Amino acid sequence: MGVCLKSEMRRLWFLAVLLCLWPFAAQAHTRAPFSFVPEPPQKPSFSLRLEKAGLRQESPSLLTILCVSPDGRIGIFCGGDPIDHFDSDGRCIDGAANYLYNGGVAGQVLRGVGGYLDSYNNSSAGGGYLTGAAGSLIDELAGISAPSTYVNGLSSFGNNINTVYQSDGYLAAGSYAATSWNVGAVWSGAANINLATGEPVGDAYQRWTDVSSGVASTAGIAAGGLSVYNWATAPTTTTPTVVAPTDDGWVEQQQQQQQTGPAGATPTGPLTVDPGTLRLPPTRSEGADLFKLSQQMQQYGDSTEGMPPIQVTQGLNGEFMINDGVTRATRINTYNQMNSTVNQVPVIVIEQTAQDFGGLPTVARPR
Amino acid sequence: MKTERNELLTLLAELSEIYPDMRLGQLVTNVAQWAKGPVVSAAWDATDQEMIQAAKTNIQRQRGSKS
Repeated sequence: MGVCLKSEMRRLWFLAVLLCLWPFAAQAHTRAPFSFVPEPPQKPSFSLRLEKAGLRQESPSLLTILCVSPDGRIGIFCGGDPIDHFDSDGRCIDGAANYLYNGGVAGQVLRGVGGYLDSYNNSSAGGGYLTGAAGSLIDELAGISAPSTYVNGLSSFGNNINTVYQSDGYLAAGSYAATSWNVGAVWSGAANINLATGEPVGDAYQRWTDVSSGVASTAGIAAGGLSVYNWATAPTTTTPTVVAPTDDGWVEQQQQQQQTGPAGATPTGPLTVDPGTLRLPPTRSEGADLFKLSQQMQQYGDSTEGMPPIQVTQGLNGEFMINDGVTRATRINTYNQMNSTVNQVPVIVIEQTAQDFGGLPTVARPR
Repeated sequence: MKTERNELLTLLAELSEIYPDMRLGQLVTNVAQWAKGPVVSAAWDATDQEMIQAAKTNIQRQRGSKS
């Protein structure tokens, strides 16, 4: 009972300290030269975001472009919002281009698209406005005056779509490594292609929603098949992890070495982990010292820039117990909890043991 | 002072070079926990010989990782 009361008192005290220090921490956070200043929580309007990207919106429908999925289904390119959503691997728009180019303009909707694309270049207002950061796409579109030029223009868009996407299937994984097309690896959020298997795993492919059966093809829309892709309502599916190409094993070797170090040596890192999962040492099972924590929060905010790696011992099942850095881990975990983020911290394994750390409290759940 | 104790202090000095950011008490506690496991009483219970062994093992690992 006494322990519970003590624990509860500690939590209340911790919250009180946080509340008192929060204005200072936030102020320090914005002053720190190396700190990352997050976007304000309010999502700006679409028009505002376009302007930030150097664009102006002529009409809400201006950026709505239909596209065709690799298996012939029709959808809206980027859900009409190419700022927040992007067809990184060009699969969608390339499919549309091929569809139009091959004369598959049987449906009324596609006729509309064709007319839109054909007249796009004549719309000086629209074309003129669409310059700036998104120019890679827009510049290509601005050059469109016929489906054939659409195809030719888009061939060079996005670092050679045609080297990545083929109408008759996807290139083998090894081929991706030979191109500059590693967006999936760099932009992990997109995760368009599983570079190990070559399978399409992008959002566009996963979230596509069939609204009727049938499949569109280059000969036209078969059996009324039509699909609508809606970024807003489509369910989010698990985004597979994009892994590095496996052409010659070099990447795997590097990753292995990074995690385990030279043969027979203690792993050296750098690794990054969710600080909340780190186990607290038994002599610090109640968590960080609150005074030190408040000092670090004022000084560094939620920044991990330049943070020395947290030194840990790796135990059974790969669990990490902190040897040095409880306060750092607690600071980042505190901000993660307050901001609903999952910022990770660098750790370095300084010792390995077969001991089980499963019974130790974690940074997220101190004793 | 016992030879064993001298050896342990020498090893702790060497570990201090490897982990300059650790406080001495923190370092002793960590070595004791490497020796006895993750228990509060590790620093109290670990013998000098156990501490020596744990310290040597860690120094060897760190040297190996840097070679």
